[in-house]
Amino acid sequence: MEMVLKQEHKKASYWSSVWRRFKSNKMALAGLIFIIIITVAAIFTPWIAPYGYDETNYAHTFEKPSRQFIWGTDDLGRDIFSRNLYAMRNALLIGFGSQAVVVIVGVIIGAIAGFRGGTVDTILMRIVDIMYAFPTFLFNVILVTALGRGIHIILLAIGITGWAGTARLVRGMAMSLRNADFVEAARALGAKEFYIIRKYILPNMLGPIIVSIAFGIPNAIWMEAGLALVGMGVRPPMPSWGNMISAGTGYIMAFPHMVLFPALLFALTLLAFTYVGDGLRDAMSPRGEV
Amino acid sequence: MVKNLKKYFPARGKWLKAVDNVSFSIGFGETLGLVGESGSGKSTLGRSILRLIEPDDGEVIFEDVDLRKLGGEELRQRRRFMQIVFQDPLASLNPMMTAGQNIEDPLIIHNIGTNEERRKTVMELLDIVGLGREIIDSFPHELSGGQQQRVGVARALALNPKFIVADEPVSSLDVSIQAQVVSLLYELKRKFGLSYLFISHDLAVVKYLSDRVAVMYLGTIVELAPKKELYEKPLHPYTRALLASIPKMPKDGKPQKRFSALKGEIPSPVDLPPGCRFQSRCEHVTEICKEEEPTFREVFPEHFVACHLA
Amino acid sequence: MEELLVVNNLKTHFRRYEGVVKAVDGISYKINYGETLTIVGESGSGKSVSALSLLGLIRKNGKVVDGEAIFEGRDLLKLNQEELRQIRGKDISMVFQDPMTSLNPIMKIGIQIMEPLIWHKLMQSTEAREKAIELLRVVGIPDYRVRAWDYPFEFSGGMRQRVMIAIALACNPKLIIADEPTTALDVTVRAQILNLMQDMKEEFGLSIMLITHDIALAMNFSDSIMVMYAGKVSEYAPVAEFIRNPLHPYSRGLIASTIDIETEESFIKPIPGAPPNPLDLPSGCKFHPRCAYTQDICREVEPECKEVRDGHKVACHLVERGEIQ
Repeated sequence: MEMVLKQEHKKASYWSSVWRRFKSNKMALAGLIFIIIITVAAIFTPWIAPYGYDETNYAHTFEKPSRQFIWGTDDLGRDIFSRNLYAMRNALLIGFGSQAVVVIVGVIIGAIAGFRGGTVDTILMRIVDIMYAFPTFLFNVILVTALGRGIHIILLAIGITGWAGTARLVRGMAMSLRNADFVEAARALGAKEFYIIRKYILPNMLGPIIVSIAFGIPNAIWMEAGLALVGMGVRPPMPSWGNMISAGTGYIMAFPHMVLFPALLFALTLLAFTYVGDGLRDAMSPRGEV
Repeated sequence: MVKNLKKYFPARGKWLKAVDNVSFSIGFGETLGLVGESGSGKSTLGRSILRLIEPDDGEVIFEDVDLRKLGGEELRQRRRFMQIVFQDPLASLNPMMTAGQNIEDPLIIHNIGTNEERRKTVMELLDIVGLGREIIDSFPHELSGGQQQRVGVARALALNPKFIVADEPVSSLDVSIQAQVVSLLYELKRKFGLSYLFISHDLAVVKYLSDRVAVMYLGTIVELAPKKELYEKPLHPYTRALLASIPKMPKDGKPQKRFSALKGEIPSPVDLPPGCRFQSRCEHVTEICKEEEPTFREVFPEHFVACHLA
Repeated sequence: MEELLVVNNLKTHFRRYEGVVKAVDGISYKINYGETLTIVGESGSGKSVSALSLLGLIRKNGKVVDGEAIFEGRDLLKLNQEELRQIRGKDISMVFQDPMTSLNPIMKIGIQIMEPLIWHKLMQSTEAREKAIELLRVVGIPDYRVRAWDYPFEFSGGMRQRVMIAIALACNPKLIIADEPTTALDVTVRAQILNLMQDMKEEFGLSIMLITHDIALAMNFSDSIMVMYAGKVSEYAPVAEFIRNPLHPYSRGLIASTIDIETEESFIKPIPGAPPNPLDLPSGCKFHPRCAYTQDICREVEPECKEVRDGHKVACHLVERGEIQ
């Protein structure tokens, strides 16, 4: 009879060791904390923000940071701090939202292509190739011009133009998993194809997908900023970092605070996500046990 | 003995005659050992029987039904009765599911029982394979090799199969654990009247578990006989060489310093020369061996060989 | 002077997050000139780590924490990497388990054989070339003159292992460490390689340290045998003595559970349980949870490996007391 020795040493299951390695990466941890803070702030923005995002105040235009307006006001007397909060909210919305689209579309297409193989794979991959070849930015501009400048449109557009990379990634993983012993075992048990994809293939692809999301979010935020620069970003008066920076550059010599604060937050946010992405990726591929 | 499986099977696995015209049968409750080295096609054969690899030709008759003729859904239903245990136990379990979930999966797939009933069955299966019930929530990588393989066996048993293909189930385990798992398989065979196709390169283990043994070389069966026959009176030169090349426990304190070795290497299964496949390594090769492929025929009762010189 | 390598109390520990793994925890043995020692053990026994420790090939999170390994008058464990490098491949060579991955896939095999000769400054390239070809002949590669300039993927497993042996022999080493050299090979090829190693040993007067889990092989192939369990030596004896009289319950268990051709049906007796988790070792004698003869002292006190007969050392309280024969 088998004797099972009690495991009294520290338990090291996969995700807990990933977390442990992640934690030891200081920058990644800092990034994560930052993201948590801004996300909470974003959720509660309507209650935290001292002023509305389009609350104009013609008596106080172009004011430097003061007690009344923490980060100063812009050309229409609107509080920059509040506008930044809303911009952050929009950025996160666009970031998470677009990645949701990317993941859904990319995973479905990639998983089917990778798992099925053959003609299905070829057709789907050609579609992916075409998407890949499109200049993403241009495509986004076209979509936004055609469909309007609402946040949800922008979010969708970025998602629709950006799923190709994820699809390729997922397809590669599905192809290698397809031949794994445990997948063959599932087939031998009589599992249907969709069941196998759902329970055997997808859960084993989570790692790289999460990393890809972590990098995709800053990309999406960046993309919106780019759109704003050509006047295709979030429609004012709703603020986004892109349109705030873009509008503020005109006054940069006289009133730098209009650009400074949004740019700073923008940069910090992107940096935070990037560190988290890096940290996740390193944590999931350990090199040498310590 | 009712014919459980009959197979006639010329198959080309991708320009490589991986399994070339193989026929045999396995009766209820019988264990057929399949021995071969790399390139023999034994793994391909095992998987082809279950249609995990699609055979190119031939029939696989399981309880009077030709498996090759079944459509997708019917085949899936049939799968309940024929299962497989893999060589690498860790790779054969879903790393994202616990041991219990892995074992329960076949029941979920075929919609058997309620949640409680399934959990109960899983517990029973753990008992049957000699595992403590507490591992039900452990993940595969937390278990030892022997435990993992037992989980694999438990999963294979979940649907009450009649036939199990065991593809080198102990080769990657430690020696002392091998013995445990082999004992387990032996027990299960007796308790449940299972039929096995036991694939291995290890002649000793095969001998322990099987009723009859088939030896494969480069895609065909070169000898097939009841166990005692094969080990006591091996006819095919390859079988003899296999038996001779195993280091045996030294008796009477006399170690053997040199081992009887077959010359040459296993040729590639692509582009085989005409005649007997074994000609390049056979000590007794003659002219006819180089021209004509020997037929697989019964030389003694129940003892089949494919060799001109038998 | 007969002794080529004398190892005393070697300890190699690894640091892992979950704790310290005492992979090798105090082993001692010796190898004479022209002798074959086989180290037998299962996974977790520490057999491979012990060999790698001698040549300073342990991964970064491991360290040799104690012991000495005197090779030709020098303590290998005290040498720095540069000094060890001069010994590796020249005085002590290794043959690894997996011939598929041990050779450089993008380098012609002839060059791979020449490399140690040139690195150790024994020869210039023209001479080295001739020597490489000669070595291929010696290890039995057909068409050796031509095949010397093929790539590894053009060879079968058995052939690649022969090439590995040729590389190991290149500088006329005194000791070859072979870590499971035949485990990945087909059965019929295994015998060929084992014979080859015996031939090389006789022809060149080498010593061999063979590491394996196959106790039947160990009993046939070696002059001395050392059984390891959980990082320690459980039994150590000249082979004839061991065959006549395996004393340690683990050794006996291994023998009894090895399914041999001659084994009768109902006769294998598996050792219950499994090799212990290195992070959670049992107290006292590491084997006691699986031992049929366990007594209180076995649970509390770790037995030392002591000589109980001529040259025959065992680490077991009960054997010491004469309770097991």
